[in-house]
Amino acid sequence: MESKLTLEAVDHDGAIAEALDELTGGTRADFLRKAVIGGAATGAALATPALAKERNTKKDIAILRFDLNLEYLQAAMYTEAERLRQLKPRTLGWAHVVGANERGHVKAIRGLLGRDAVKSPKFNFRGVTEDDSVFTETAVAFEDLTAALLKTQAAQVDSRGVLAALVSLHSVEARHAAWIRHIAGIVPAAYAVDKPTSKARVVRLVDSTNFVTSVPRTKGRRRPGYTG
Amino acid sequence: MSNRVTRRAIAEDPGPGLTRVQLVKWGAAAGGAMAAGGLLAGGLPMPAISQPSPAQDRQVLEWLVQVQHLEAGFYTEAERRGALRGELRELSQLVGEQDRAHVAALERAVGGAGSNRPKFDFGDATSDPQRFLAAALEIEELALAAVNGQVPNLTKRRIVTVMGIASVEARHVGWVRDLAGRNPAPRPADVPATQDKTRAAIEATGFTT
Repeated sequence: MESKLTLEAVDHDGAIAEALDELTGGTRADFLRKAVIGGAATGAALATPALAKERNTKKDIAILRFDLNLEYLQAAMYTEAERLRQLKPRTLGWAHVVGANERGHVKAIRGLLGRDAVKSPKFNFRGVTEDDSVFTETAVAFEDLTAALLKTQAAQVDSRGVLAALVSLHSVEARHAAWIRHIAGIVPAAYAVDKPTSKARVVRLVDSTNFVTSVPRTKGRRRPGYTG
Repeated sequence: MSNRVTRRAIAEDPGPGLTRVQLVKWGAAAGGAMAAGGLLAGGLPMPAISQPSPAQDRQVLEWLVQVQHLEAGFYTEAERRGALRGELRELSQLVGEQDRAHVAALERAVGGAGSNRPKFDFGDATSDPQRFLAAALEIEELALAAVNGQVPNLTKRRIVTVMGIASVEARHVGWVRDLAGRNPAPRPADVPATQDKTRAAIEATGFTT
């Protein structure tokens, strides 16, 4: 079963321009990649498998940091929508419940990262949180793509514990996606089996929104975990 | 077959259902009510996990075929009886098609259909709109928890496919719950179920024969 709905299809007002195949390298584009680079640069102390038992590997830290930034973004957007109260009642109800869930995800991923957690970037939602149709389209894109990204990451993470965590967040993102699609009058489940997506595609989506206005430093925050 | 969801709520739908009281309750519930059993750092539920292997993949996939048979059987019978109308009819057709595709995909992965196909008696849950919605909610939730509980037991080559199924189960849950006027995502993290717990949940539906 194929659906006509794609990211391109919901982007009729240009809020999520698909034309961003070539990344421009600005502040916004850097937001997720910086977190990942930061993760790789500071994780060197974790390389020894014997020591890694209770710790996240470099790869898992990078993945979790990327997800943490995505959750910060979603939590901030939905929380702002809830505060401004300009959306239609059903959309506002969605923002209320899903905002709380995404704040829960932030807390959970910060817990998994421990001292490797990064701070939230600053956001400017540029009126999207006050416009019901643009908000809905953006939310559909974020929820669909987050669920798709978590599939890719699930097969990448080193730790089975981190995998279990991603699995239990993943299906909540898919519930969110189905719900906002239902509110929008789009088929909630367009495919029999949902496909994974790449991190690059999610970076492009985030970049296209121009929601991220500043990225906190991630360098030098972590001391070596083991000094022997 | 149309896969468009009508905007209009069906007659049985209690409506958007987002009263202020519910919102406050849901807000309070989000963050609490986590898994009984193991917890990861961050408060996330931790299922029982055993070391993945191709042999274990096979056992897991065969088990998930059994769970999918419950769902596929339910919607296929609802479609055959033809008693549902409006969006419930659309839902039973589309979700049935997708759950049958899950059975087929999982059987392909284990190299063919198993011999012991479970039998169910759904009574009027496949014809009475209210009972259909209640049963669909119960079945979808238990299937999602069953699939989620097994993903960490799989080898990497099976993870993406089975999560692709979990994702669609979660969408079904979200759709059914919204139609039923229930919060589609009442918790920030979904609680996985073991095979034993899922077996008990299937028993509890009363549909097993």
